[in-house]
Formats: sequence, C-alpha cells, structure tokens
Amino acid sequence: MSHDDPPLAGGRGAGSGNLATLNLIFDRVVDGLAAFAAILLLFVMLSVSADVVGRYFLDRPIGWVLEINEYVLLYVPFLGMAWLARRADGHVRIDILLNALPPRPRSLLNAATLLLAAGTCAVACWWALATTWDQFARDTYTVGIYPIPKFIPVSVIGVGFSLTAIQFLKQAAAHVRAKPGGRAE
Amino acid sequence: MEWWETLIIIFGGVSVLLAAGMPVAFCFILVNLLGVVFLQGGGRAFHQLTLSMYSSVSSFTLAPVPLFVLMGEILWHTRLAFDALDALDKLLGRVPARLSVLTVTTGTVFSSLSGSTMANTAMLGTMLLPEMERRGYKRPMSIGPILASGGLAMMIPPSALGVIFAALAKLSIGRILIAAVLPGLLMAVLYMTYIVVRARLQPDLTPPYEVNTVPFAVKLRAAATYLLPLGFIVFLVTGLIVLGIATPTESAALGCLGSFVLAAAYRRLDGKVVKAALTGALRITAMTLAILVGAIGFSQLLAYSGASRGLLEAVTALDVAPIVLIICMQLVVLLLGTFMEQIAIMLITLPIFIPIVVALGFDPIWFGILMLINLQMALTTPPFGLLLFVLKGVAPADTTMRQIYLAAFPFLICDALVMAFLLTFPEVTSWFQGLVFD
Repeated sequence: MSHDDPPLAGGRGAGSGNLATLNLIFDRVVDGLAAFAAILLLFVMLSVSADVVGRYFLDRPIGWVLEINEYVLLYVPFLGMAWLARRADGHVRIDILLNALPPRPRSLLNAATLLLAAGTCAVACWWALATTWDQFARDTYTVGIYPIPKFIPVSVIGVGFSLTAIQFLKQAAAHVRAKPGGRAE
Repeated sequence: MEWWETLIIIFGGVSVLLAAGMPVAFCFILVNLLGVVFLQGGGRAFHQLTLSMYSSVSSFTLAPVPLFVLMGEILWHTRLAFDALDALDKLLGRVPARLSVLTVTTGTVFSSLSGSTMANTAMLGTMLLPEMERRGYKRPMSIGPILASGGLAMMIPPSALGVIFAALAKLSIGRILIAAVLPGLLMAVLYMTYIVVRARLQPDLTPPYEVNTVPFAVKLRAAATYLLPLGFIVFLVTGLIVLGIATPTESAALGCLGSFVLAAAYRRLDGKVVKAALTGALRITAMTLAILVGAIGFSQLLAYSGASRGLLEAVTALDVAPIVLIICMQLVVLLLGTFMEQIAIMLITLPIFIPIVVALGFDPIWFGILMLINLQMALTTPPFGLLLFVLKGVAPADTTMRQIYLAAFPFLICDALVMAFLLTFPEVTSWFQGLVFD
C-alpha cells in the first residue's frame, strides 16, 4: 500500500568492491527464486487443468496434482518473500502514520519497523531450520497418497525467511542513511 | 492472567505494530513468536509454529487465489478488457447518464473476469474518466460510479477475497462465491437506479450527447467478437461450479487457461505480456499468502490463551438479541476497515466471530456475505479507503480528495441498503444457494 516510500534503496547493488559483488549475487538469487515462483504459478494452472481434462475426457485423473500443488502454495510465498520485500509495492503495510510524519522521523520509524521485521524473520528462520532438521532426523513423511519426506517442503520456510531477513536489514540500513529531506539512496 | 487481559495485549500488540507501518505479514508472525515464548514457554512449541505456517498456506483450497489473479492480469495486459468496453459502448443505446451507466455495466462485466478491486477501479478510471470529463460529466457522476463498480470485483466471482474468507472460516468456497453473486448484482442495480434518478433530477450533472447510431450488424459483430468469448471465460469460472462439474480450484484453473487461449487466439500473447502478467500475479499472490502464513498460528494463539473461548462465553451469555450481536460484529469490521488491510481484518476477527456466529445459530455463509459487503464498503470509506487513493492516482490532477469522498458517499448508502436487506431477510442467501445448488 505504500507507494511513495523512498524507492527501496538497499535494493539493488549498493556498496562497492566485494560487498557489491555479494549484493549482486544476493539480488540474483532473490530474482531467480522469484522467477521460479512465477513459473510455479503457470504450473498450477496447467496441472490442475490437465487433471480435469484427464478425469472427464480420458478417464484418467492425475493423482499427484492435489498434493504437489499444496507444496506449490507453500513455495510461492516463501520463494517470493524477499523479492517482494525489495519492491516498493511489495508487502502490504499500513502507511497512514508514516505518511503523516516529516521525512527524518519517517525514515527512522521505517528503519525501526524494518529492523523488527528483519529480526522476526531471523528468529522465524532459526526455528524453521531447527524444525527442518527435526523432521529430517525423525524421518517423518507427509500424509497423503504420495508421502514424501516432510523436511523437503518445510525447508523452504527457512530459505524464505533468511533471504527476507537480509533484504529487510539492507532496507533498514538505507533508511538510516537517508539524508534529511532527501531520498534514501 | 484473565482471558480478556491476554486478549487486549494480543490485539493491542498487533494494532501498534500495524499502525507503525510494519509489513502486515510480519506483524502476525512476530506476535505468534511472542505468543509461543510467553504463553507456551518456547522450546518445542516453536516447531509447532513452523508447522502451522506450513499448514496455513499449503492448502489446496487456496489454489484459486493465484489463478484468479493471473486470469485478471492476462485479460488486463492483453488489453482484451479495453475491447470489451468498446463493445459494450456500441451495444448501449441512448440512456440517461449514459457514461455512468456504462461504467457500472462495464464494472460488473470486469468483476466477473477479475478478482482484484484495485485493478478493476484503475481500469475503469483510466478508460472512462477522460471520456466523462470531455463530455462535461460532473465528478459525483463520474468518480462515484467508478469507485462503486470497481469494488464489485470483490462480490462477483472470481473473488480472491471470497476464497480466502472461505478458507479461513473453513466453509465451502463454491457456496461463498456463488452466494455473493446475488448481492453483487443487487448492488449494481441499485447503483444504476441511483444514477438514472439523480441524472433525471439534476440533468446538468450528466450533459446528454449525441450517440452515433450503431447499425445492428456492427453491434452483433462487436458482441460476437469481444463479449461472447469473455462470456466463455465467465462460464468456465462460475458456470462449472454451478453445474457441479468442477471444484472452484479446477474451474479457476480452466478459466485461467481459457484466458491464455483467448489471448493467443486474438494474437495478443507474447513474451512481454506473459512476463508482465506473471510478475503482477506473483506480487499479489505472494503478498496475500505471506499474510496468511501467520493465520493458523494466530488463531491457535487466541485459542491457547483462552481468549477465543472467554469471549465466546461472554458474548453468548449477553442478554441481547442475536441479530444485535451480528450487527455489532459488522460495526467492528467497518471500523477496522477504515484503516486496515482486508486479509488482516479477517485474520483478526474470524477466529473470534465464526464460533460466535455458529453458536448463535446463524448461517456462516450468510455472515460471510455480509462481511464481504462490509469489506467492500471499507475500500471506498473515507478517509483511508484504498480505492479512493487508487482513483486519485488515475484521476485528472485537479481532482480533490473531498470530491472523491463526496462522490463515494451515495454509493456507500446503496451498499448499506443491500446489507440491511440481507440482515433483515437472512433467508435470501439460503434461498439463492438452494436455487443454485439443490
């Protein structure tokens, strides 16, 4: 909902030297995962349609469609999470208060909430990884017609949160650096 | 701690975080994490929280959400929507306040093709507002109808929000989607009635203009070329559910595929369009599902703290007519709706409301429809309704917020009338469901 934020600086390619390379790699990874998530959306459309056609016309429903699409619905938000965090029109936020503030306090409040969001992601990531390991160690399987090791779908949660935590941190830093009255670049 | 103290802390915490501008999705996750620490003592309960995130979104019932969104994006980026408007323009004869009526008609048609109120409003604003300005239409009759019919996308299937409501309240998606059609159409009829009556009373608001007589053959051609194929998509999305041939997810997939096929048939499908549509669809889908990640965790938190149960017992023990309670709940939604995002509102209120509605003996589908109308109204309720700002973005530069507020108001009354009607005659919803499904 916030369209007039500073264009999310802390976005692409800030810094120099090694840091710039790291930034570039990070952005590529985030973009790559988002592109994969977008392709997954096409997959939902095609696989579900194929299932209906298979059932009605070929008398051969595709059994795995339901289960695999449930994993897709889990993967899409977590693969797209950091990408969305980088966009100015990404994650929904209520910006009534932010917009009412003068530039400097606005930047600071922005930085504070982004830091909090980064911290949230970091803690959630820690536990998501712990859960992933726990599921792996206990060798649990999903419930369904085609059970798979449960740690496989669960692992995407930690991946999404870790990248998003870094992305939010970058943006919080950009807001802190923002010149009074200027834009965060 | 008493249940109500916990409840105040939880709701207070969420409200402060949301108001400070923290991204909505992460507010809920943070509160869930804190809940695990303070109410459940941390440790293994964190594993439960992770698994609740997993089960919140990995639900096949949510699959229509990305599909509905992608479908709307394809029809928008291929500009098929623009051609539909052109065809409707040819079909519509000489009526009072012609362009305003055309707006509502187009808005209703688009609503049956797209689940996004924002896209719908922006589309109508971009396409019709310049023409209305050129013809000397006054703002109440140009901006008002656009805002009102833009919001119809929430009521008329495919409605992504309807799907989310059903998923959160564990109700039949097909029934929610179909039951919302009747009030949606009722609203459209009320909007048109209001427009025509007001245009008759104040002719200077909508100066009449010479409408070129379109030969019947041209009308027929326009309808066959640009409307009939879209009708096929509507059939795939809504018709298949009504006929019981496909589940909502399946009909959504077929509708989505249908819009790709249609775009290809018009030779409008290229890499650029597909990329733009997928980017748009990913943005909306990921942001919607990200908020839902915290859904089960949050309702478990309310349950674990005893807040849900405490409130349920307190409310059902109240000595007031059940319908009064329903009205109070709707007022809460209306209040939250003036500043909060819609999925967040559902996340906060549904774990509390749905058990109460069921305990009072009401049909939760009916309650869901009331809530959808309410959330739609919230989109155009001053001062912070989202669509008001979407419209400001596409309106001529000299449009003031005050003009937009005033233009929205009469149409909000129309919505309120439909809501009052459903509150008075709850049986209408079940009658309509019976008509369609039994």
